[in-house]
Amino acid sequence: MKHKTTILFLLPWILILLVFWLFPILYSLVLSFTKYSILSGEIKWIGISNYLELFKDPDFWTALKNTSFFVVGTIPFTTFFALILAVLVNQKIPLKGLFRAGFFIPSITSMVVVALIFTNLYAKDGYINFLFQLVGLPTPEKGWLLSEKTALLSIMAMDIWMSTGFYMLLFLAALQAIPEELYKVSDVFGASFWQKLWHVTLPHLRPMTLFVVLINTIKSFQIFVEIFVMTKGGPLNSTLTMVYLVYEQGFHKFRMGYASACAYVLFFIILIFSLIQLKLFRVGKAIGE
Amino acid sequence: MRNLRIIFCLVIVSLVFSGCGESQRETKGKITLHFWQFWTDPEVKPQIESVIKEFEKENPEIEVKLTDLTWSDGHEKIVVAFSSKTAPDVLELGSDWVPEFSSQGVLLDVTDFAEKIKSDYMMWEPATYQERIYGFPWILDTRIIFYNKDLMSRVELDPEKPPETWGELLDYCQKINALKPEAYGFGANSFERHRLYKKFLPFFWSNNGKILSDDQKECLINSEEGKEALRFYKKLVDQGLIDTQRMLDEQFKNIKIGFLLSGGWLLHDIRKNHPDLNFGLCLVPQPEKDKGQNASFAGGEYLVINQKTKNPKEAIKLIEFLIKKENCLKLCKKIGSASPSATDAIEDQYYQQDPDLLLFQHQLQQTVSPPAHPKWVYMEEIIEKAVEEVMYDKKTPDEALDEAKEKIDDLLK
Repeated sequence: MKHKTTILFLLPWILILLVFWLFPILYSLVLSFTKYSILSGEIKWIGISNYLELFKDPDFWTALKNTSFFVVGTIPFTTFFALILAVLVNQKIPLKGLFRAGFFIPSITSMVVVALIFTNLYAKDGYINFLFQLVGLPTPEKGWLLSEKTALLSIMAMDIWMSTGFYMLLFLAALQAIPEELYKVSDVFGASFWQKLWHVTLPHLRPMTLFVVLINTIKSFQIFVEIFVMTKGGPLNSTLTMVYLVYEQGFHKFRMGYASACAYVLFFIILIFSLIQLKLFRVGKAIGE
Repeated sequence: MRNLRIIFCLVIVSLVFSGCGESQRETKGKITLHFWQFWTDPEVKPQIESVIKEFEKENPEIEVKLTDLTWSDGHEKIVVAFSSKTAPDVLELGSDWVPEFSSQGVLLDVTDFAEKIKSDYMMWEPATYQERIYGFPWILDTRIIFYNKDLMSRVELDPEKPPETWGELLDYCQKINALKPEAYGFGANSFERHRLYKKFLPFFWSNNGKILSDDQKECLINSEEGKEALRFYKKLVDQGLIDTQRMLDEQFKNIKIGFLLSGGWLLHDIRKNHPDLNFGLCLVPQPEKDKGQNASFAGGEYLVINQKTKNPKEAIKLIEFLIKKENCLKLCKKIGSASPSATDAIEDQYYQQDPDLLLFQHQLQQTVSPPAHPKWVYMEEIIEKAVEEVMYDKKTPDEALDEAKEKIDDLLK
């Protein structure tokens, strides 16, 4: 009886999981071995041809390169800033609530809105160039999103600004979970601020750091909306990312099979990275298992 | 992955609920036509509703159910609807989408009826695929040159004499561009996909360039005409500002751009929100005084019928009613800039009394459509890539077009 009730309560979620997650995921695996035009509905089994073609497609390698660059270039900064901000707003400072809310606001703002605002900021006559000129810094000739050298970097900077607040909140939660006694004991033994940070705070933050890096890696590999709104992959494919490639192939060229293959390659890349991170951070040890 | 997941969710949702739509199809002995359309503007929407009401009054046995789509995700919704067999009876499609759908065999072949009314309407090319017709031109728009009269005066050019040849256009752009950073000569579209080609091809066509041979077996883009056009376009781009369409339109309204190739939406926007802007319109210039033509790109809204519709006769009736000049004009007046597809719409007082709109009509009469080829999306991308590489100094115009030809030839095999 007890089990029945449990299952009954879980049923809505299980159903959603099966119908909307598990089935599509498996179905797209099947699709990745087919030539499937979504419009006419024709499905033709073509084995691993999609994957072979993918590895020969220069756009795929560009997308992979750009996406990896995005991931490697944003995560350390986001994590670092989030940690610093969390430690800062965890102090007893005036207007603490205001700061916390302020840093968090970008994360709850619609991505599309942020992207549109930043498109204007990054424009040739936008505020960012205005500020740069004010202090005498060089500005790119074409506007930040329109030069192949600065487009991806600009989007990365925006992404760091946007996601830091959310991870700050996670770190803040972890910080507040550290028992106050440890700090009191440290004080008794005369530990300095840095010693406390290094020996008490950071070790306790390890599981949360892993979580932050992991979630952020997965999220960053899937970057799409910013690209869709701001650059559509250009200029000269300099902001073409994996998910944008999937979208272009699936919905503009109707090559669902090829798009699925690309999505699966991305899936395995994310999986491998997640496993490596889990190993590196030795999460089990950190949380005392 | 996440997006793909969403996509599949959509597919499945529509699969699950596909049965429900069918059962509602006939209420009270009436035939229900489902019509998906993109006019959501609060000024235009009531007008289309009233046109539909009139239609229902004339045809009491038919009931039309309108569904609104948006340009940002309408394409996806239509694709998903077709793949899940829940597409409506009648749909509005952008002209550049029609070949994608007609070549996949999901649209009803309307050649027999279309032949009867063909001469009364223009721009059938996008709706034609392998000599069969799959859609009806409804509301059209073209790209035309907007220029700023104040900037012309500032560099001592006669603002009432817009450029007529490529040489003049380039010269004027150069003069205005000398004012930079206060103002730029030409507003050049950046890499935006599905948009850049509409800006380069008017010059290409003006110079009598052809993308494909008549039998669509060979790509002719790297002909001397084509190369000339791209060389000129590159010069033009160098005398101006590269940005996205949205930003360029914005900059034009801020008196920062001398010449801009844009569409009816900009005219409407200026009239409504910037009535003080001192601007003029002119046709896309000819290469030389007696060489080439004033060709431009034309796009527009097409009405198509789902191949699986149960009521093809009624669907055609609805379309016939919608594309009628009077009904179309009512809509166009609300839209403020578009043109009906009826060939004699130009004679209407509405256009004859308004020189700017009339010029749009004249430009519309001289447009060329991209080849209606099922692989046009791919060709479009290849062409845009070539133009982009030239704009960003990665390749010379000749190299870029030679390469584009090779790639397009591969597609044609």
